[in-house]
Amino acid sequence: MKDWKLTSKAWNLPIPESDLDKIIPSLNSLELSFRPLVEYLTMEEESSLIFRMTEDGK
Amino acid sequence: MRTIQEAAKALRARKVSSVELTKRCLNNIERLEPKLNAFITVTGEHALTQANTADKELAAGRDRGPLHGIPISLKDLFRTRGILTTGGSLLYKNMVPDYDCAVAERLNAGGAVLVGKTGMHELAYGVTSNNPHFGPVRNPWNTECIPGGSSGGSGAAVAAEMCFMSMGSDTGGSIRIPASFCGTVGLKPTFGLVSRYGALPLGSSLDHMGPLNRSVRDAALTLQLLAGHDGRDESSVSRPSESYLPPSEISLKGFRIGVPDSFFTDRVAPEVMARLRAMVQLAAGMGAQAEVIPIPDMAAINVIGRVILLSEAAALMQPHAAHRDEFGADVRALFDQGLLLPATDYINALRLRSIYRRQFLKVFDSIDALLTPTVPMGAPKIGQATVMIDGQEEDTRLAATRFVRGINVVGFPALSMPCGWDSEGMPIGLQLLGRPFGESTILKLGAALEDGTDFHLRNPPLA
Repeated sequence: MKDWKLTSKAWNLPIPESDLDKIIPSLNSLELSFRPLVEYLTMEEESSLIFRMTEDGK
Repeated sequence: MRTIQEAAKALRARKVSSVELTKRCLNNIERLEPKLNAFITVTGEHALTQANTADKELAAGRDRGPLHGIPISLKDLFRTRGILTTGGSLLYKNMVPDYDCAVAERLNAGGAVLVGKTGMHELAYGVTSNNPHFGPVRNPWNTECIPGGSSGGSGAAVAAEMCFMSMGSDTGGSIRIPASFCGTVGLKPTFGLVSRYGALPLGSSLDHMGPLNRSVRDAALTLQLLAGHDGRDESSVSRPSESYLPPSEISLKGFRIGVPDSFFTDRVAPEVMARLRAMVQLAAGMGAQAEVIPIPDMAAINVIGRVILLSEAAALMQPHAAHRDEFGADVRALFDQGLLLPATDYINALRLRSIYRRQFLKVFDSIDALLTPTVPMGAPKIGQATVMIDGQEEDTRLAATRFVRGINVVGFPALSMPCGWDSEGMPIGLQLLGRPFGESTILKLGAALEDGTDFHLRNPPLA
């Protein structure tokens, strides 16, 4: 599992350790369910970012 | 006179005036607000001025449409020119915008009368509307219970007849959850159909704007006014206008209804499941064909939605990270989680979304609408951190969003309507899902079901 406290420190986030303790179970749970999904992705799969161009380019 | 349709008819027959309708709503607000805390700002004087103008215009033959002279409210994240807009947050506690959001513009152009700005979960980031800065909004069916959220004030205000319609926003169920818990109709339109310009954002690719109403046809009338392209909103879609109002007589002959074979029927309170079955039977009795169908992995879609929302909301709020103490504990915890997710996770979540959106679209190859419960249980008590559903304990927020969050990820239209009450006397919501821009289809089905029941006619004891 990721070391969230190390990540927070490395990224210089202003999250106190006591607050980190409260969110780590939720982050671990998300990590466990999200990571296997990423393995399904292929190189061909594009992102669904909103980026819409009109014909006149505006 | 419960609905916009009824009030609009009475206004044009001169049986009532907009000023009278507005005074009734303002009286209800004055009487019930101490018990419900549904509003952050009440705009009584402003409303009476607008109502007076509406009466004069109607008398002069200038008819702006079905909402002309109708008292409505806006969730307090819709910017309103000259009127406080807090987002339920200390960050915006003194913000008085100098412009109207697109929704307010359209409602103003349609002659609607604004009676106030409704309470909400802080920054729309939660499902309880238990706001640490403005106090908890309470459910009109039981004031010890939450109204749901984040558009909780809107749900409470509509259910308690403090207004005829209230605009909400829905990033992970925030229109449909309060609609379900408060026994009202709630419509989350297709992503891009209603402009978000000028509404305080939370999740830029998940935010939807839509109404809470006391009938399905009222939701259709409201959508008719709101739908349309707006170049100021990057996500806004340009498409031909269409009529959303269902006819007065509806046949469901040939209408194909799907009931999910999994997920939406797992871990559901038995009373909620019973009501879902009853509504499917009702539709079948009206001629619809109902079948159980397989659906994509909704649990996966929910996980993708959590990654997207945590990331987008954290990015939006990062400029305020130094003011940690100005956030409530639950909202701060969500922002913190988002700050710890890498950009690669966000991008991969968006890539996964494309896959699941295609899968979800395929569901509608064989059906016109999918029926599910809106929420797996009735409204929990204020402060209740977990709920018991069919013998299993679950986090209140995750339980409330379980059947609604994924629909924001795929962006499809969703309607919640009352379909019964549980043994505690709390409303139960039915969710109707359609293909993209299939609002008229789910509104038609919803109106047919409403015509066959009387749930939308019931008032909370408080009201």
